[in-house]
Amino acid sequence: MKRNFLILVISGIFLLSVFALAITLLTPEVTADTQAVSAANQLYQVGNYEDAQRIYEQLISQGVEDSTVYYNLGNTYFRQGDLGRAVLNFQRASQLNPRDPDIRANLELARTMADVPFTSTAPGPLSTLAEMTSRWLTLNETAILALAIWFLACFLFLSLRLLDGGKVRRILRYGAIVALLILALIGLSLGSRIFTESTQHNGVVVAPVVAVSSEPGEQFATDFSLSSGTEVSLVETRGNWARLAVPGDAIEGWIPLNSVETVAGGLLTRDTLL
Amino acid sequence: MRKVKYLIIAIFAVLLMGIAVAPIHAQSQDLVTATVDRTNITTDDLLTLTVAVEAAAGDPSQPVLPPLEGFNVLSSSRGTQMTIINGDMSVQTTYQYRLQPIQPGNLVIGPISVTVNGNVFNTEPIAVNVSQGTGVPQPANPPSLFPGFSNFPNFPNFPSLPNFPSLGSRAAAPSNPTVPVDPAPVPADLVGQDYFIEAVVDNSKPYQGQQVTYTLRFYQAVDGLGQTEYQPPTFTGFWSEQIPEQGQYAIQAADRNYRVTVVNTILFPTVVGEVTIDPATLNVPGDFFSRGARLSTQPLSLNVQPLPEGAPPSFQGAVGQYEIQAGVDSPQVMVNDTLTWQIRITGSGNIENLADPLWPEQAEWRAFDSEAMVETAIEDGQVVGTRTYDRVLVPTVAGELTLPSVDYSYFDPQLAQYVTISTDPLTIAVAPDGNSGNLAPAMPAADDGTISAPAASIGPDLRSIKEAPDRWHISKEPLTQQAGFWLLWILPIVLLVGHFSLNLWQQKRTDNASTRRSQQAAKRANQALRQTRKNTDDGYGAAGQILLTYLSEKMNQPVSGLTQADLAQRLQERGLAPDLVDRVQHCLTISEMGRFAPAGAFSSNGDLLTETKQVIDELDKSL
Repeated sequence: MKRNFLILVISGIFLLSVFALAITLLTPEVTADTQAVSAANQLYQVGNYEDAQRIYEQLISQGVEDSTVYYNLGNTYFRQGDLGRAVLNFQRASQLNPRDPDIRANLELARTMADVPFTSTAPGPLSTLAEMTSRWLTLNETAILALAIWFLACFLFLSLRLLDGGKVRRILRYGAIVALLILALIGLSLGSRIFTESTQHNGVVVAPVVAVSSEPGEQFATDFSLSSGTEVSLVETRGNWARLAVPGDAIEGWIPLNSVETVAGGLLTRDTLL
Repeated sequence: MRKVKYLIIAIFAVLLMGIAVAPIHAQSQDLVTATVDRTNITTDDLLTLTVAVEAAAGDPSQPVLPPLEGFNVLSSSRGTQMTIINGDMSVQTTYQYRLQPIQPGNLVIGPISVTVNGNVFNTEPIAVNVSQGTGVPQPANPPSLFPGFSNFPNFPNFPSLPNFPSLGSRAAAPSNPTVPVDPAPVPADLVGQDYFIEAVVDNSKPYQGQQVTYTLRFYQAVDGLGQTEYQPPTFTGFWSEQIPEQGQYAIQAADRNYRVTVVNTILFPTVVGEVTIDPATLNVPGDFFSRGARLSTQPLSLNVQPLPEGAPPSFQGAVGQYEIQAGVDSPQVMVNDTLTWQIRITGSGNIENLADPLWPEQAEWRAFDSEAMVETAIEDGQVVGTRTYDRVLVPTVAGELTLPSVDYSYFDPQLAQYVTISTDPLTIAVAPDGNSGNLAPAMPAADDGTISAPAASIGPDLRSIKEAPDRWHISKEPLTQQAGFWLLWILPIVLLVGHFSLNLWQQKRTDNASTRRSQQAAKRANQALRQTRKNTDDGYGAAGQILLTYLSEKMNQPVSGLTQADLAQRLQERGLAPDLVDRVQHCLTISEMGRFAPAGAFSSNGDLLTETKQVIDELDKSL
């Protein structure tokens, strides 16, 4: 009995250590460049939005993935009247920190100010589930949570094997069942996020006004126009043109590649959707 | 009577002539008209005078302009429009003149004469009120003479100019506007063709990176109805930039009137040695009255010279003539506050692709680089402009700090030598962090001189920016796209499987040891019995112990603690015959009794040992 308990304790410590170490290694953090952000914030505070924007973008180009930087960058674009890029950067900030009330508030404000005729809605139950989850958890957080519950469920199952005593085993059994149920829910949510993010490419129109053509080419008729800040779903690219759908794939058309940017990051290129 | 007769005839003749001429005079108002695009202009504006001739009755002559006092005639053009209505064709010829007022006042454009079928028609005089302008010429684009027709062949497929921000009037200029230019010498090959093109460069031996202007001239003696298509050369070996304005002028050559359209392309050679510019082509569509034409220029060869040796260290490839200036938004700043250091390079050359300066090392400053803001324009056929760098600096130490001079070198093709220019060093007073003293944070003034209000007061609904966190993530793929993450999912399974496998192995190992013990139990028991027979006096006790040890090993469970009844039950459960069980019990009983009985009470212990051996042999067959 003592030997089994010892095995259980060692197994628990091992699982916990490996989990913590692996997550630390897989999601590395570095000391923030507070000086740069502080300098940009100062420029912002005195109304020098262009230079502030430049510093924030310089940090992002160096690989920084932080909601604060995207949020502040969104603010600089908002102040400069570029609502398209404001929406875009608030979206990116929201993806990194979905529970932040400031990011949510500014994203909604930018959307309202952009006065787009419609916002993209998630089609299908999987996308709806993914969207619901994304309001509270980032993709990484969802993945880490699912993994943690999986570790817990396995540990409980191991405990069931090693520990005697009817009461303890009963508690362990119920715990394992609950853990498996939660794992199923989180796993479904994670799967829907992965599926949605691999099949749907969300973008934001950054050109002031972009004409949507029926075919990829300037010679084709303009079906309708989209204004800066409109959130769209990008379907495919052909040449220097991107096919978009808004919302729920009900409306489709072609716009120049350089008039839209993906929320996932960067300018849309010919290879982005391939 | 005869006089009366002649008088009547004369009256009739006059009436008939009047009837005949009156329509012609009446028609003159409709056949030939002169209009201007506006009657109130300034001396900065250009005036467009249009003379329209309804030429259904015949071929009109060129309008004869009266002396235009107060105006300069900059250019003239001609267009034709054909209309067919119910089978009746009418042709309207329009002449357009661009006039530049040279003095303010009420100016009058006198009657303009046009001869049609021998009849001379005069237009009505036109009054134009010219006021004094500001001296800055306004851009003007001559309107098309007819809807759907261009007055001059504004080539429709000219490439637009990406990344070519403009200065001054160019920003508002429409695409492919036409401007008057000085006529070029008449080419020798122009011998009366309907259409003719030529291409020339202004410098056939430029240095690498030096501006070369490629000029295409299109001579047109007849009008086409369609749009002329221009296929420019590929300009391989050059960085090229099309000038959107098309120059125009009129000449006479080989007894024909030509309109000449001039298209300039600015080139900067990027390679050295012999470089050839491919032929340019023009497709002139035909119409009812003329055949189209496909024209090509001759290829042009340039000998691009390499830049000479001995370039200074700060030379990065700039060619042209430049000046450099530097300034800061504030001479005073606090540690960790921001300072904007602006460096401007102004001059003539390939501003768009000009190399950035080499920024000096600044240990006391943290610098944030900026993309250059580029402004260019064309002045006198040369690309001129400015590159502006706004470097945001953050001082890291307090004190009197110096922003060092910035050196910039370029090659001047006119001087044929390298020139190095430098900014002046700037001294900045940096106060310690947190010590506000008398220093206020830099508040850049807006263009109108006002100071921008703090952001927090601009829009109450927009939530304020945030301070940086202590730590942040660096860019990496999401966890779900990393193999390591999915390998982690296997770890608990590996742990469980490992645990089960270990248990299984241990069980198997135990089983194997028991089997081995069981198989060799009889052998060991017999050995022990033989040993006891030889060496031990206490043969009774040893016999019982050997039997119990044998049973324990054979049954793979300890039996020494069992009562004889329990042992008997377990042996029976294993399917032993009752008599054999009895013999086992008997042996054990004798063993117990023999150990504690007085000597001689029992027969020799050799009998018990023999009996025990026999029982063990029997048991080994059954167990």
